[in-house]
Amino acid sequence: MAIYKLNQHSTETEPSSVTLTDGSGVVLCIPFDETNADYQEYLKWKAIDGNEPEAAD
Amino acid sequence: MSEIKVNSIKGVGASAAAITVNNTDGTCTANLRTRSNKNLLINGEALVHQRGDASVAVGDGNYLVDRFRFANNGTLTGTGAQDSTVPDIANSSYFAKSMKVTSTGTTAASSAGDYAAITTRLERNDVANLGWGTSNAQTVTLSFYVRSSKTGIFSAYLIGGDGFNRTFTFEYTIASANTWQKIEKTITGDTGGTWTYSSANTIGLGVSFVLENLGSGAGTTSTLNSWAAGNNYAGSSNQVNLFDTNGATFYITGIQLEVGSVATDFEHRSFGQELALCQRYYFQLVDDNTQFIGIGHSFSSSEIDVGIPFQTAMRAAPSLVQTSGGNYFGVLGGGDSTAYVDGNWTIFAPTEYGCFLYATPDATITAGNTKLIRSTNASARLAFNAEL
Repeated sequence: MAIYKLNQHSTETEPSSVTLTDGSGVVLCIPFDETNADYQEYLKWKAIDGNEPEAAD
Repeated sequence: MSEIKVNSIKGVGASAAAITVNNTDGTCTANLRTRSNKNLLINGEALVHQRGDASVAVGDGNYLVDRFRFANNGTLTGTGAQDSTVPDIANSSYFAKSMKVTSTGTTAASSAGDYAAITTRLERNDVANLGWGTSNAQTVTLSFYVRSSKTGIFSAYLIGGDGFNRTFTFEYTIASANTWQKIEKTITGDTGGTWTYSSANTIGLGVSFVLENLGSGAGTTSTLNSWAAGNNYAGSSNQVNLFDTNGATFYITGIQLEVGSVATDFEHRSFGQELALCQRYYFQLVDDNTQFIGIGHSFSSSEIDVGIPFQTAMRAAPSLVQTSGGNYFGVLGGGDSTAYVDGNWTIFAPTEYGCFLYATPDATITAGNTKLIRSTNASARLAFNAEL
């Protein structure tokens, strides 16, 4: 199961990326950019009822 | 001084003029077989394979080589890979690489809507000049070399327009098993639909080569050789199913899409040119041990930062692709003992030109120092993905 976790740098006031860990061994860190295809996939996932990313550390 | 005045120049046995002369403005158009920058597709001869996988499963989004990936829905089993089996052509169109798909199961026709295809996508930037969606839509010609252990009807299609819902599907026949043949298809530009090019770096056009098209679901069409609306995936309903035979193979290379009604010789670009074009969409920075990542900075005692300039401007702010593990990325120098990245890198402030990466080291480091950042494991991998 894909797991998304938000990332927020100490200098930021809100998250600017999300990390996807899907168990494949490859980890994706996805910026919040409308033209990024991975970000579009994240938005589709998030639009499904019940799907919420883990909060940033 | 003499002068020849003609309307066109045509070969003795040709049906079309090789050179057409404009009678009023002093210009001409020519069907040159070797003109440069004519192939709208990138990596059509499968030379560049930055991801380097020996093979990938036939699964949606898995790349066989740069710019060419699977589109898939359903439960079939198979693999895709870069391969050295190429057509034997006695002229300048020699190819070094191809893409190979192998069935590893016996998926019979079962589920409506199941499909599999090799697909590549172009930016709107790069197809806006086709004028599709207008009365001045340009004709294009798609050509490629293909070989399969299975004979029969295969299909391919173009897809684009707003909502990605304008498709042009055509069939071709593989008559002899395990024999290379060249396919050429001239496609009249789409004068219908809506093709908006304001979002210049988003998807403009897809080109797909169908491998399986089961049932009568969303992946199937019986509308051939004309533009149609409403199909997201559009293989022919007559399409051979490559995956119902264990060990069946399909090869393809020399894929070219060009403006005009003639399939000219494949445009061979240098490896460096092709790699640079691919790096707009995927840029592999690290794929082995002891590879330089950058000169970093210890932002604090528990954070290491490093700036990464991209080799070429990427299509969009990319995702970071990483394979990480214990001691995969070293943080060296700056008066501290060598530390390693604990966990994963995080991308920060990416643009199409570069980004920062930050991570937590597995030991305390001195804040404010310069650090050398490099891979320290052969399985370490860092790449940037801005594919369409």
